[in-house]
Amino acid sequence: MADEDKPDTGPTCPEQMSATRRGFLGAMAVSAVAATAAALAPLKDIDDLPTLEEFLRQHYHELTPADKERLLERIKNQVEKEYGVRPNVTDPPPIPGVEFAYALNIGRCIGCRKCVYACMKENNHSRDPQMQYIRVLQMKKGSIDVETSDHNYEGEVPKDGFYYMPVACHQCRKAPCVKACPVKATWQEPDGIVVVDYNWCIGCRYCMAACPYFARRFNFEKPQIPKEELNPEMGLLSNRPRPKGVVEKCHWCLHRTRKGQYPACVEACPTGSRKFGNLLDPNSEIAQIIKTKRVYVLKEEVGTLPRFYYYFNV
Amino acid sequence: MSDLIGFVRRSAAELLDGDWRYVLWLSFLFAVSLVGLNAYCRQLVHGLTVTGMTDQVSWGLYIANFTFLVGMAAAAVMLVIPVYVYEDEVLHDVVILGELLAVAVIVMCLLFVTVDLGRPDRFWHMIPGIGKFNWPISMLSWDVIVLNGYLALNAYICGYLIYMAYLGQKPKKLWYLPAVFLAIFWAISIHTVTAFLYVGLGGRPFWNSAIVAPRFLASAFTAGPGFLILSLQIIRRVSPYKISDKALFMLRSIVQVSMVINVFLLFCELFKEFYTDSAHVASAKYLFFGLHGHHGLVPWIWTAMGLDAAALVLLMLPLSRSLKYLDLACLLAIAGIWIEKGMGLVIPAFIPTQLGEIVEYSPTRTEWFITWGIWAFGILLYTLLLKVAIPVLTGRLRRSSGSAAAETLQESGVACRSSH
Amino acid sequence: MTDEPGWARPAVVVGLALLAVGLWTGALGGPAEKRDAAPLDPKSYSTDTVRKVRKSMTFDGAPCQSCHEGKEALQGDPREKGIFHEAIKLQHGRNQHCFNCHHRLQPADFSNFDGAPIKLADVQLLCARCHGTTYRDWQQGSHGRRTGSWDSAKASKNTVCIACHEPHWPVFKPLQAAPPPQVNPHGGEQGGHH
Repeated sequence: MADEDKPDTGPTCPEQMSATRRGFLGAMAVSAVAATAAALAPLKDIDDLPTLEEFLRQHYHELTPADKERLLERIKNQVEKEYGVRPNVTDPPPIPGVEFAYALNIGRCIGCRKCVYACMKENNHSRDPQMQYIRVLQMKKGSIDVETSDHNYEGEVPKDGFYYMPVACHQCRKAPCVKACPVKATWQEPDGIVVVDYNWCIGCRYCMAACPYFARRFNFEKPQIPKEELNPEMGLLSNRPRPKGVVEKCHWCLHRTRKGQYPACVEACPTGSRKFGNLLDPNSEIAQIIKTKRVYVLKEEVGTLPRFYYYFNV
Repeated sequence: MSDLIGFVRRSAAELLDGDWRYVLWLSFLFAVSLVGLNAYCRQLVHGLTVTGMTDQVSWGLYIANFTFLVGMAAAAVMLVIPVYVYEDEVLHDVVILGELLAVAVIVMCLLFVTVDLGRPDRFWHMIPGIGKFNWPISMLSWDVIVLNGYLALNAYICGYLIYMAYLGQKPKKLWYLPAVFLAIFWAISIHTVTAFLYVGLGGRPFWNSAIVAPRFLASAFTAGPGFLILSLQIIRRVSPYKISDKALFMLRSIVQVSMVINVFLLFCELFKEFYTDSAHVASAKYLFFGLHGHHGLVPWIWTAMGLDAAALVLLMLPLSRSLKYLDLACLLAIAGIWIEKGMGLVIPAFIPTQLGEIVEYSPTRTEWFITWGIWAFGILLYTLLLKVAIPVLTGRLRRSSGSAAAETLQESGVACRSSH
Repeated sequence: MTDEPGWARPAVVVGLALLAVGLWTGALGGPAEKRDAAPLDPKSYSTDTVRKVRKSMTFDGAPCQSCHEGKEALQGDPREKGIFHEAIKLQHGRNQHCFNCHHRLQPADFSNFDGAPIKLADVQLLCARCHGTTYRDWQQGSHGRRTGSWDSAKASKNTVCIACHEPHWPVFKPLQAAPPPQVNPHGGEQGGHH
């Protein structure tokens, strides 16, 4: 209102201002610059700035074989520098004629969580903050309502009146996470495994919102792996140490399974509840289980068509 | 071209000149922005662990603010429709102010999304052609297109109209009317697409409901014009720009209708959740009543309900024809909608998790600092845009200005006065 | 009405300067604590079977033949024959008779339906006598742990019955569960209910 009384004649030139006013203008500018510099000060501690090559790196599908070789070499060097162990990083392709599936016998699972820790050991998970792909639910007998489940049970297992249902990524045929990702950093491979390109993921976490099974994890900070427990057998899309700020999840140990081995969780289970194999091979135990056992999938109504089946023995 | 350079130089001079209130205001906003910048630098160094987010609640304060602000940006169109479609003269003068607000608010939205990214250095992966863009399948890819497009559209419209006003020329209809009509549809689309981000997720029953998109629009058209009502009063107090009360009351009727629809849709949602009482009600139960001993959000949502109800009552009463009460109603509505659409929409969908676990979320100090920093930066940006736009619109800042002093300025080619 | 107060611009300079100091010294929040990556407890991921499978049938280190020459069929209940086998506790459902499984003439072996001996190395054939469906599943790979390769064309190894099941007292003892999960990234347990 006061400005309506004064004639509005435009801005004043700096040269025509009084000396004190000019002085203040200068002082304000200096203090503004100093404050900005101070605000940016934490950046001096940054230790994982991407190199130019890393910054410009293309999506996994655009990499030439030479690019891949260079990338694998780079990872080997980085891991050696950080952990003192030279790893064997490979990028095994999917085997033609193979479609993986997984079955879990909840009639036998006792909830001992050996699978959880075997996975941690095999896949170079961060110990603190703790990264685990498998979550074992202690379910009340007679109900399949996960809301009544307990994730934090301790002590001796199995406990009376409960059954145990481990959950990890189901590598869905119609994966909501694959639909959600804005940059196609996660996709389903021909052998059924849904993979994440850790060099491409932008960390928006939309896939984590989309997943119906709490299967995906995020690296909120740099993973901490003890040097002496590093597993040097690594896969590019699986268990090589991941950077901060990207999403990861169970990948059915593709650095093992694409070479004919079982995933680590299958081999760890003391009750033999975990079954894995090639669904297209009628002689495999997984094909036989799907054919002969009483099998169901979690949250079937969401329409994800998982490759992970739960069954009861006999 | 020399006109354009002249415009830029004079705008820059305009930005640097203002009375002590202007300087204090800018310094305050600048300081808060710096605090936010500092907090963000720490987040860049340490990762998103500095926030309160977890694997279980993987989106938090940033996305909550983003969702609220996309609605505000869309609300600028609520002025455009009466002016350009119905050729209402009353709101004609304030349209640009609304569109400038949309520009500033969209910048805030983009900033909120950027600070939420785990790898902001990889933002280029989203650029179509250069990166790998999962369009049209991913709703986030649609969001990238519509938000940036809306920013470009509004920036173009405002830039063109203001520059034409500066030149003293009548803007050519062909150069801006198509953009304006496009902006009308685009404004609806930015908020619908943002709603669809949530709606399309079958694994989150709290979001997987068709009513989310209409609710988004209804709450946006309540909070946005409400914010404009408040901003316009501030503008006419600190600048010579004339804004009639009629314009404010036109906006009031928009807020009234939208608030009624918003509350009705809220009621629909509550009925569906609590009457059906299926397992899918868990998130709504957590939000309104607490679940299994966890009730972190209960005080928030009931405060929001109270604010919404109070705002609705005030708006429907003739009492709000007095500006004082209208302002109060707007403040109440904005606060209520910020809570119910921000924290009250984003967080409950993660609690309980898809596997029935409850991990509560509360933002850390760092998250608050970054949030306030972005808000301050957005308001700062709006202030600067207005600082140039208003002198142009009042006629002072023209290539050939009316007053003698300004003519002298223009003749001598300098940007500023040579005497007090 | 709006004469500029004298404190206005100095306040801005001082305020920004103080802010600079505050930000520089990290008064508005310092770096996060350093994390420690402790190794896992090997018991949590050990792939050992719950039982150790003996390589040969012995009692106290001595082979069965050192006491049982195998000239005549053993009779009676071995648990009533003094200090040698009295400590054996047997609760195998309705299978309460020692010589249902053990061979009367060759105690180092087990006996099949027709009295033919079954070697320790083929003990699954013994179990299959009664647990036929389980044996069928075990052969096929869906019962018990299998290691090696999922590829049926390649070799894989089924875990033998007695690596998990104690034949005299098959009821499993409970195992100690490995530790519960922590919230990523802030640690601690949350959301545990029931």
